[in-house]
Amino acid sequence: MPLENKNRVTCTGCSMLCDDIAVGVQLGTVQAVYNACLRGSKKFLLTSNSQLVKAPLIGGRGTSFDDALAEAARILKSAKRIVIAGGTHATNDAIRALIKLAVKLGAKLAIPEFDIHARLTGAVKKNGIDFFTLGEVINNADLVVFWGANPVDLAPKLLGRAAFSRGRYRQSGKEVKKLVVIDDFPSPTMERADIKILVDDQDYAGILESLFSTLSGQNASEPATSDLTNALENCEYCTFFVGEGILNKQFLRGHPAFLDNFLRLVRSINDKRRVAVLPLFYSWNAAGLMHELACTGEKIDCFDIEDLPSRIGNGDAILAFGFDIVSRCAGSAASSKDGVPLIAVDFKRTPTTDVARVVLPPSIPGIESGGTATRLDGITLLLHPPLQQPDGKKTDEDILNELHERT
Amino acid sequence: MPFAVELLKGTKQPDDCPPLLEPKNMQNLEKIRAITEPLKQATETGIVLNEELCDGCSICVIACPVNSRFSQECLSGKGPDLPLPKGIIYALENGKCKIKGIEECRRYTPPKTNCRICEIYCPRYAIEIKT
Repeated sequence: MPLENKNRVTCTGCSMLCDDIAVGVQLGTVQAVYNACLRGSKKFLLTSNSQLVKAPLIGGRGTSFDDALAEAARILKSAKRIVIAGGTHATNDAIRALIKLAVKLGAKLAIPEFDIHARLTGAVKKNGIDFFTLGEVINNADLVVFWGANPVDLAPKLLGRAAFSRGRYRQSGKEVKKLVVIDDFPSPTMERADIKILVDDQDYAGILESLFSTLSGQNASEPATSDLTNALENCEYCTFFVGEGILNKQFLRGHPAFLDNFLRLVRSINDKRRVAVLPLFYSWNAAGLMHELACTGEKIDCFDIEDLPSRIGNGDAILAFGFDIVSRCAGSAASSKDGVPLIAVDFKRTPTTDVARVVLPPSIPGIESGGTATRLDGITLLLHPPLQQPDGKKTDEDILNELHERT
Repeated sequence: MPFAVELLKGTKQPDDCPPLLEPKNMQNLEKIRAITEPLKQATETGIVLNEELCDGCSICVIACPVNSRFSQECLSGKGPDLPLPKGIIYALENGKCKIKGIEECRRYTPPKTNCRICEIYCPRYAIEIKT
């Protein structure tokens, strides 16, 4: 039977949300993926893979959705405190249902990289932020800087789209676009950069200071940053992509003023030319979760998921929503045996679903069910699932709404 | 010299040269066989794509000037829609880059320029041009 090809599918592999994916479908599963990187392809090919959780589970045994939801609701109603962990690997619609459930249960939210988001939000509130959409980067940017960001590993197709595309005003592509990489290790992104700045991350603050003083005319540029300073002085449109090299707890704790100073530098350069900052995160809808939390009028206690083991105790319950907390926070695996029941809402088999008391497998967002998600540049995209939702399966939004009704 | 060119183009093999088959030239024959062995994997453009190193970043798909000529999507950094337009050289399939056709490659069509854009920009060194 030949494959049925479907074009313009949106990938939910990373925060790029590439919408140029084509898939070959046969017998309700994806058999071939076109235009997707390795990371995105693996997610699409899950549909024809034994790693999927096929049916709801209670204590590792298959059961109906009704029974599993009833058991999950019983656990949540009898818990002293509830922590909902995850939320960055879900559609905006499911995130809104998550927030509604958290408010009803008085639950706390344990969010991946929340510490970083909170610091970035604080710095943005204080200093403002200048943003580009990816379209503006493609059409206008002639200088692309990756600082502490390694898109070749994190968002594989970003480098191609940002630095190699032939935009409306940059039709010669890479010939007129300069690529700069600043990092503390020789990343694959740095391999093909025009300007490579390989320094210890402790020197990032020094680089910032040097850029500030040179660009404001106070001092001549230092050798380490002279190429970058020249590039910044001669560009028309520059985009800074900042990644986990800067947006990590250890670095920001050691350099609490870095983000403020960085955004102020961008602001000062914007007086003379267009400069923007785009943060790069690992999760495909971290931007969506932050946006929904910012827009909700509700007060919800949020903390970083790394702090979960110290915030949970006997009598509590954990709802792991699309996130493998056992791999991430080993302590929660122990707590599962100590009487802290774990409910997992996940479509693929992970160490978390292996130890969870109840597993509720939703249809795969973006592949078997639709909704919206927010790209790394803040644009909200509609997901175009290439497959029909399997019979008997529910979306993650439906599961959360049912838990809301039953608790 | 002409035989060397034919060797590199892949139209002749080292064993096609009778003087090389003489016992006194056996060492040279082995050396030439070793040099030309990788070319057996190369397309007529000399492009060797190591799929194990490729992670589907699609830089070759976007940077290739021929891809951009035949697919408007490639201009803005996207992959081409299906069915693939005729003339496309690189496309991603199941997360890996595949060579779809070399008929329009600038290394293949006259005047056979020494274009190496795909090799120069691949961050994983998955593309190597042997000639």
